[in-house]
Amino acid sequence: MVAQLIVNGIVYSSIIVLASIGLSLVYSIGNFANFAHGDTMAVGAFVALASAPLVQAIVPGVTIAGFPLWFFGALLVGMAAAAVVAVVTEYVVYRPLDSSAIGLLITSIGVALAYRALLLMQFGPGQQSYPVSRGGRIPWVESALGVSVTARDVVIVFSSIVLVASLHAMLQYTTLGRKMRAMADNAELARVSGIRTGEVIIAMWVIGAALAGAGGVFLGLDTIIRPRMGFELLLLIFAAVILGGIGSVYGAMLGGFAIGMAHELTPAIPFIGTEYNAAVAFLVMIAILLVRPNGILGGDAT
Amino acid sequence: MSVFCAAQSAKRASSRVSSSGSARKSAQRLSKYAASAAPLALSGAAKGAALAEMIFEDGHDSVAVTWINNDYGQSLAEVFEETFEGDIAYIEPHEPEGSSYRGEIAEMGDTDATAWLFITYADEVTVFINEAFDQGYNEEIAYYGAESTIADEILANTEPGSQEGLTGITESAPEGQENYESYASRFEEEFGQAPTVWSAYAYDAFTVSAIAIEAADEFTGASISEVVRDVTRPSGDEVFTFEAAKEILEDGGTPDDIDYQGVSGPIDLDENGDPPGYYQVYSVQDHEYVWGDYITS
Repeated sequence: MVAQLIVNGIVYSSIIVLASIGLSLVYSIGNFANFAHGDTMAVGAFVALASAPLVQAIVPGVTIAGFPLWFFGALLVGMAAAAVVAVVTEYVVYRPLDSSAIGLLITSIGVALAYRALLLMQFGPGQQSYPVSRGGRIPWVESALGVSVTARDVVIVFSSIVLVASLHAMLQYTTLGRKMRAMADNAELARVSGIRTGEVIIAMWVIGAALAGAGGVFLGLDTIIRPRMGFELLLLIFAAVILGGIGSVYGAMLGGFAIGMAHELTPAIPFIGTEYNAAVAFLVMIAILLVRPNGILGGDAT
Repeated sequence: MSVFCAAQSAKRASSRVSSSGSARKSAQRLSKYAASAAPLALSGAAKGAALAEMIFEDGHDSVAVTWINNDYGQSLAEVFEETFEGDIAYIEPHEPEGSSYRGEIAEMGDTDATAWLFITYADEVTVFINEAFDQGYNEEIAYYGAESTIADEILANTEPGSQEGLTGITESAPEGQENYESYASRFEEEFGQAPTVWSAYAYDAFTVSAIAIEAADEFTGASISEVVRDVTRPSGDEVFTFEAAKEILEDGGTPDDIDYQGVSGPIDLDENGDPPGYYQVYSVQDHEYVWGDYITS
């Protein structure tokens, strides 16, 4: 059973990691806790769903190991839509408001409600799913390792790895990445040394929201799509970001992985019911914070 | 009094909310409110017992139950646990609107249960069915559900074959029963759509209240509750309307001479004021719902 739980944990962690990165970026560069982040995930998931018929018509009907190619087109549309929505929100709400960290935090709760209400108006409250058939277990993995792995699981995990690796390359080896790291470290100093912080903030929204959108699409692919899907996950994502060390992008990745694994490995802990999996994830967070009060990578440079 | 008002509000209540579970609660709240002097509540107790009996009679000695962590799930699960005659290998709650239930599925799969009972709502059961399908449990385990695990959206968002044979019981209007058919046609004339089973419950709640008020010595909760059971029990003449009941009383009849027959099925209120369970069995065949027998408990 434990092997299966580890597989489940890796899939679940991938989604949490993608969402945590964006939240951490906004925290370190935009300097506030963005409560609309979970609903940004839902925006990505729903736009990808709405774009599915169009993308299916454009992209050839090729399947990769039983998984349709068009889905990746819809994924990109969903990521782009989440990014556009976040940038528009920055221009329409956050920038004109120019409030304190607490003011922006409260504002983001309003933004979250607005996103969700718009999704409800457009798509209704019910559950939906992507028109991708659920293939069931991959037979050779089942017979070789005795665990159930589906094509969806593989797509979610590998796409997440590609996205995280691309982000790593961007942060480390491009000028924009260096600017972002500089601004996360010390916004004032970055501005004084000639970095256009406005551009960096837009880049932050694009990257953070696109990754959140991808997380939302994968969450929808894994289970179902509904307006509250991201909001329900937001608390765990916050836990991941705090655990990783607030503001550290690499910390958020590690934190997301730890929280996701703790959540899914709960059934292996004797005498603790699975319904407490969120509580176990938070206990892991508290335990690690007791040892490292700034989080796993807190205090280090982004 | 206008009994159709009650039916209409019940209809509104049930069409406003999406999941049948909340519709059930609204109707329950409404009928409690409507009959606050005469407690005619829809009983979860009867349903839990009926489920337990059905699963045991299908030959399952060992069952795993997962219930949604709220009042609805808890009360149904408690009754099930008390009344199921076989072994309950697993009976644990799950959180509403969870983003994954793989942990619960792993624990249920770790038992020797041959049947899984999902006491939950549409969104949750969809996730359960899909994730259990990913691990191939649909081939080994017989699935059971209740009135909230049947919805077209569940079929739309699960893989064909992933819940083949899922069997459940749900509140259902007694179609074909004469007084229900005439009620339904009057309802359609008035509102232009078919009544739901909740409309029928609300109609009966109001009618029983009205008869009990008429039969009681005075208009107080205490004296109404003395007679409300009598007017529904099989001791007297079968009546189908408030008017017929009133005639019996005016001819010098007592509450015992009245046996109100509900449009929603038999009403015979017990000590607690609960009507007997009256349910219809459904199952999933070729990824569509197929209706079966009516059962009472």
